[in-house]
Amino acid sequence: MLQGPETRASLIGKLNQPASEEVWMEFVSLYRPLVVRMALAKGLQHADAEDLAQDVFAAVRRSLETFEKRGRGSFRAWLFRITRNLVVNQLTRPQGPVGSGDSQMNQWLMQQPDRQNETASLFDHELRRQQFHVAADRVRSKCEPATWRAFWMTAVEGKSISTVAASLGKAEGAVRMAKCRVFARLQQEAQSLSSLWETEG
Amino acid sequence: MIARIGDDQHQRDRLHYDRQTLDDFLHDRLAARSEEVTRHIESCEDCQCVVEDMAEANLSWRDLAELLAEPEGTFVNGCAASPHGSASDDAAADQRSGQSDAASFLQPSRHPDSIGRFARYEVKQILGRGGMGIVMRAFDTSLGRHCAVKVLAPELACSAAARQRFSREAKSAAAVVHPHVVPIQTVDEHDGLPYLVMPVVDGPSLQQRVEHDGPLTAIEAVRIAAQIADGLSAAHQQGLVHRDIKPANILLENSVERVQITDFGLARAVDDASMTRSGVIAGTPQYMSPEQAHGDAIDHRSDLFSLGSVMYFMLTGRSPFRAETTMGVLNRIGNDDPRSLREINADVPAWLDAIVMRLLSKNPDQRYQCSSEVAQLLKGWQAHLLDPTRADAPEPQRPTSLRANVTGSGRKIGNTLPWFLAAGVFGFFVWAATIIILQTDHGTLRIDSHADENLPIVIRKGDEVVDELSVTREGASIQVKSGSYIVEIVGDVDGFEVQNNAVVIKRGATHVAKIVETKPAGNAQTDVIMQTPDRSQPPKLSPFTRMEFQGAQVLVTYRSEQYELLEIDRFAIQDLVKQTQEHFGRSWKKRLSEDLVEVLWKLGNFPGESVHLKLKRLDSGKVVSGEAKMTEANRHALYRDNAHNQAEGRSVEDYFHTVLAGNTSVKADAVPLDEFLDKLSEQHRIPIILDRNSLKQAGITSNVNVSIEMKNVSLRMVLNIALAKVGCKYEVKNEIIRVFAAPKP
Repeated sequence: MLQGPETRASLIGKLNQPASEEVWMEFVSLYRPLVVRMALAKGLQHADAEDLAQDVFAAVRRSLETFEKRGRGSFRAWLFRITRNLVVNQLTRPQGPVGSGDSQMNQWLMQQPDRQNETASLFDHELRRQQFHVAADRVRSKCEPATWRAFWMTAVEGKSISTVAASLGKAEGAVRMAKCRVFARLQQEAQSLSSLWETEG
Repeated sequence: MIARIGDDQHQRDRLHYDRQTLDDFLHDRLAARSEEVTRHIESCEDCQCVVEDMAEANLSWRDLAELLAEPEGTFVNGCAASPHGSASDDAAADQRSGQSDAASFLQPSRHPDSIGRFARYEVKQILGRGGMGIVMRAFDTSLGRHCAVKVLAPELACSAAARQRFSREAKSAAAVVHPHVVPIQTVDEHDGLPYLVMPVVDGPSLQQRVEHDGPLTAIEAVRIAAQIADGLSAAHQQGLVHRDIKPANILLENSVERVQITDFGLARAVDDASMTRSGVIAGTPQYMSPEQAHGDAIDHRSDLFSLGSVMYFMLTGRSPFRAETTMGVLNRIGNDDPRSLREINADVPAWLDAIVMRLLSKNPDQRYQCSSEVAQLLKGWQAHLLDPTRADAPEPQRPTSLRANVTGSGRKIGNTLPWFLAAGVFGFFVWAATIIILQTDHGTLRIDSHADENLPIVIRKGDEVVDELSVTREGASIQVKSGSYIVEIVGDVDGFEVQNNAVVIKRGATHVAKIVETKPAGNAQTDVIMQTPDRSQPPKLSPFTRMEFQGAQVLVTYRSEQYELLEIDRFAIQDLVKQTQEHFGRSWKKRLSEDLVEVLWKLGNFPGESVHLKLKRLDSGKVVSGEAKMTEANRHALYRDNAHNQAEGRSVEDYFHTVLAGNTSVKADAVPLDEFLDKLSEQHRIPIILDRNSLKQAGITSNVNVSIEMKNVSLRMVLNIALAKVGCKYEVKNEIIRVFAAPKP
């Protein structure tokens, strides 16, 4: 679970405070794979996708200095917002491969992505996927392995309740309920991730 | 709480719970009687239906399945969560993550205490994984004994040349039989992977010993050094050079403390497999000889230099040439005098200091000439130390002329050129007497004169005189293209010094002149590009949608048809290939295909939106030519195609990418950046080099502190997080991983 105090501007203060460093590490761990995946989905070669991720997070990091001045919402949400804008803008530009384009960083930060934009919706879709993958990872570690397998085999792999019940040696009702209860936990986990990182506090 | 829908208390299955209870059940909020409720619901289909409905309220089962389905091949990042249900999925994810492929070549084993099987060996444990090979502790089932198996890293084994080289070197190493050399028992290949088998030596390495117990006494160091020299002489007699003598390769057998040298000749085998070009070395080459670090031909005397470094380490607990970065170490090996042993450890006798310093001569001619001589000498001293009354001290050492060699003063240097080495991107100076050889990627040479009279200077490229000038006190600047230049200074000067990439020429104590190379390449150039993208950045255009390389032929797809490419804008393809290779090194194929316009710009040719092509039909052999339009769309198609068609020939860079994608754990608490990178470099055996110039220009100090603590994330992620914090980024280029200041907006 993500824990820790809500990171408002007043709490965060300067970057060199350990609390904000932890948020930063957690933030990059969470969203870097997402950025890379987005870039790959937009047709970049792997090395270029990695480079894009570096540029994005370097720019985010740089703009941390300005957080205090503009910080209204939570620190996490702010991180998320500028990252999303950066990625969407970078990947919306016409040609596929992307130079470092650093001089445009400021512009990107200012720009609001177009809601209708195809890249933006791809981002949001990938983000949702990301949330569920991360949530799944967390929920799985807290479940009985058999419960998790009952869920995974029925809900994700699409196997029938009876097959799974037979293969796990469990009652069908138990499998069916395991599926529901894990699903519910998963949604809760995804929701808490989303409200911690992605919504204005 | 319980809604009795059925009245008959005996028909328990008709008894249902209300929505609130079911919701609590679904969300694990049941406080009381949860077992009873669970038992009921799990056997009551009606309740189950309600729960299922509730679970689906915000997100359908179908959407969930879609969200959690593996997005095709995109969860490649080492840190991606792997929330897969089955073990096979996990294994697949692990393989992709790059780290656990250390053992991916193992076959399953039936032995419970074995992690897998390789040929006839039951593998018990992976002892270590360097960049080049994997060492495993294993049990030889047919001979019934324990052994160490060393396998060439699978990613290097895809090159036939590398495999042959590994096998050949391992076989010649196997021919060395000596009590102080770990014997190689078997050299073989299994499933296309060459491997060798050695006995398990029970005991610490010299590295561990010194790290654990601190510096050794003189007598202990002499004993060990004598045995190393003895082992080396057996190999040298067979014409085999170890090439990687370092404390970690010296094993001290438990109880008897017999010294055994391991990994004979393998350095050469892996050198060839991984790094074909000179000048760039994986890991921290602290024990390398100058000629080795410089990429020159080496002979057995290189091992003697390394022996000197190892002795230095034994007596002081540190290697003689330490610096914060690999490049720093290389520089120091080439240029610096090590600090005297006696300054660090006053207990070291003068004669021992002299022996070590002679071994550490930059010039191989001034070291001892053979290892048996060293072994003899050390044994003599050992006997004397053990019993001074019975054994006489060996002849005192002649003082060496070491100091005269390294400072570069005077003209008698002959073939012992001190040098300054930097990896490809930084330029490369070598100087001797009054001639300075300068290797540059094109830039400006700035010469400042401090002399009272004008300083006559001649700049040549090959036999051609590029410029002949007289430098006044105002100084002079000369534009130079890439290549090697000889800068000749006419007049009396008697010393040189390298300071921050500048050559300072001295006469006595005064600076006569200073030569600095300023380069438009790197960040400066990038900045310019950023400001005026239209003019200074070559557009990403191409007439082709695909480019392939078959032997000397370049095949292109132009308007959906494949041709052999003969000429672009009057440049014969052979010339173009050659020039691209010169400019871009190993990545030339990628650059020629993807950055065609940039390549042409480099050659002084600035095409607009079209180029003149000469193509040969593959079927009829007919040659066609004409103007071809270049488009972004073509180039993009080619770029995407390249991701696939260039995957075969694995380059060093690809290998680095694999390592970068692998998982790692780091903990650094306010560690200076340079040290931090050195550690990562060493740990993963990849060259991560800090571009100090770039940092300096950006006003970042190279010892800015890094704090990071992460477990099981990709090395990329670690670099990303740590570097972004200090305003830096990395790139994999020219066979190194370069860390530089991220350009500012």
